[in-house]
Amino acid sequence: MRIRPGGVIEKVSWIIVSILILVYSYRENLGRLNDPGPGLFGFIVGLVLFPLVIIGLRGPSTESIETQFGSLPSVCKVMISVVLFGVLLGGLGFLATTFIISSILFMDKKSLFSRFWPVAALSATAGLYIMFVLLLRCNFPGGILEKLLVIR
Amino acid sequence: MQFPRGNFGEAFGDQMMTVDLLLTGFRVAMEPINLLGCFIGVLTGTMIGVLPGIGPIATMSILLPVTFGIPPITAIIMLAGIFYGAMYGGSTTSILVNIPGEAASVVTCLDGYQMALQGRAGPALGISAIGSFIGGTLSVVGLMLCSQPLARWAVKFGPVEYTGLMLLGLIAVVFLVRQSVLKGLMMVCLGLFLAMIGQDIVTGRPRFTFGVFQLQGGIDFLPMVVGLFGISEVLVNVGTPENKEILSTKIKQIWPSSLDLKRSLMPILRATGLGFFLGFVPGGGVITSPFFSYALEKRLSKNPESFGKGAIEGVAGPETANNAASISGFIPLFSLGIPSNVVLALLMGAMMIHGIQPGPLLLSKKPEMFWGFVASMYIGNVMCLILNLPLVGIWVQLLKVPSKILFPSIVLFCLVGVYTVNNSVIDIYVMAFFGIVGYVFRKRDFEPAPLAIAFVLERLIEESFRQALTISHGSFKIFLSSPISFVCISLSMFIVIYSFLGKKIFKKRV
Repeated sequence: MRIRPGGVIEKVSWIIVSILILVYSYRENLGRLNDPGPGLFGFIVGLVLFPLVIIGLRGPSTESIETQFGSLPSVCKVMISVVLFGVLLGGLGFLATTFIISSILFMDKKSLFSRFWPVAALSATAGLYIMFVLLLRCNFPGGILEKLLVIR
Repeated sequence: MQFPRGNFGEAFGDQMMTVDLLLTGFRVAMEPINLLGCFIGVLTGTMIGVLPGIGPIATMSILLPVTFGIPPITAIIMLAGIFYGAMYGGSTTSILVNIPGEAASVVTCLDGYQMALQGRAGPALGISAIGSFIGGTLSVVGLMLCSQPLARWAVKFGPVEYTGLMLLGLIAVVFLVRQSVLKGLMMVCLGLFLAMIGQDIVTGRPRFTFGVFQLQGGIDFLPMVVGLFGISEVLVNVGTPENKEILSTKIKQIWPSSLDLKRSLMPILRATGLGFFLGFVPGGGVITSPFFSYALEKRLSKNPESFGKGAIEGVAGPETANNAASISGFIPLFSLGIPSNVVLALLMGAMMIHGIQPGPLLLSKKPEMFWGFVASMYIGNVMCLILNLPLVGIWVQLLKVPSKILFPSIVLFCLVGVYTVNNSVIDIYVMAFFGIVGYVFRKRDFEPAPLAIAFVLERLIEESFRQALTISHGSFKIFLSSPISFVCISLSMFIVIYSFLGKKIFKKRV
């Protein structure tokens, strides 16, 4: 799939960022030159960035450049998995969450009904558990599995 | 120990002291945990050097969380091992697959792959490992000899000199990375601003938090770099079709013939000097030095037409140069506290997280750390040689690992690793945010490397800048009053003006 992200969005974003830096730095108190305030350095950074963005605006437009996002579904899958890991970790715990997320990551259309993804997900979960919990002694939420074990 | 006074006596005393400190360093480096750290580092480095699509920057950022559970010196030894190990491993993919495993191994493809096609993959791999070993080891000697005098000189630096030096470092990095200087400078500004979010370094008052409570502690370095380099690397590579054609011929006779060795000797020595010098300069020394070495060897060769058709000098020179440059880059980091490339910026970030401030005082306050690190590099280079020569068959097999296993594993490692640092889910969201930001930046041809370097250096630059202004009662003239600062600022301005106007003027003249 080919989409045009648009150089305009890029340029406008940079202008907004540079203006934000200038405005917020000014609001943070610039102080005086012999007694610089917390905002002075940020204001100078903004002052440097703004003309750079303007020079960039005058340069050849990148609107005509077609940026290829050929792997957009895969990118979405990875990003959803990353966010989902954060959402599920507290409730489901380390083992269950890691297994679910690794299943999503290893699964694809070709291997949907094969043994590849469950085996890969299980191995990855076991490997991470051994490395981070047993060897490095890191703490993770026990989650639902721990609760079930405690009740029993 | 007392040494006689006078120039000779002092020089002799210095040398004896260096030997003594180096022996102490070997004692530190030979401790089992440090040996293990070094081995894991060079093994991982060689592995990711072989694998195209993932480089030392991404690997170091992914492995940073793991280092928190181990002593600081072991962590630094391991992370450095990844860097120079990757330089060794990068050549394998260039020679056998014609795809550079590392940006620094691009040039090796030209003659290395041709040699492989002619059935000489073994000598090509052998000479690249031997050259890397010689370049790396001689560069460690240079690191040992140069760091101390430079650090002694740098101790005298005040905030004015540091502001100038760091400005020059940032500008030079932007100038030498492979992208437009304008975009590089924009990324530097963004990196500086992101690092300012959190608490003011003087008053401790929250600033630029936009009313978000979680931002009061600032943006954590680790989730940011793991997102920018680790996750975005996966996002760029995921879903793209694999196009690896591994040469099926059996690799025999790894050790080069005496004629090959004779032809490679001078290119290796020249590349060591060239790589050492270029690695010292802030910017892409590791990436540019192989190109310079290749051009130099072609110019000096009696048969320049053989280059690109399997000339062994075209493999020996560039592979030596990138290793020499990767190690000499540590000199400005240890003696001045200025990272000359993004990998060293990551290492500096890791050191700071471990409570170690790289710079001139490190050598005098924690000599066992510096000398332990230097000694580990000697050991690490020997390990790399052993790993790369007899075990090349294993590395070739590694090229067959499909990306559908590799990339999900990297994502999982990033997720779990980032969480363990603060046991905070917020870090995962920060990583996700910077992952997508890094991906968009790369797609729009904005390299994230200058942003990361600026982020690491911001605190030092701002502190020095504000101190200098306070000392001078608000006069900017102070930055021109010190010769070092004057030279650095003049050079920075020259670089910026040259990069904007120099090319246009040159084109007009042509």
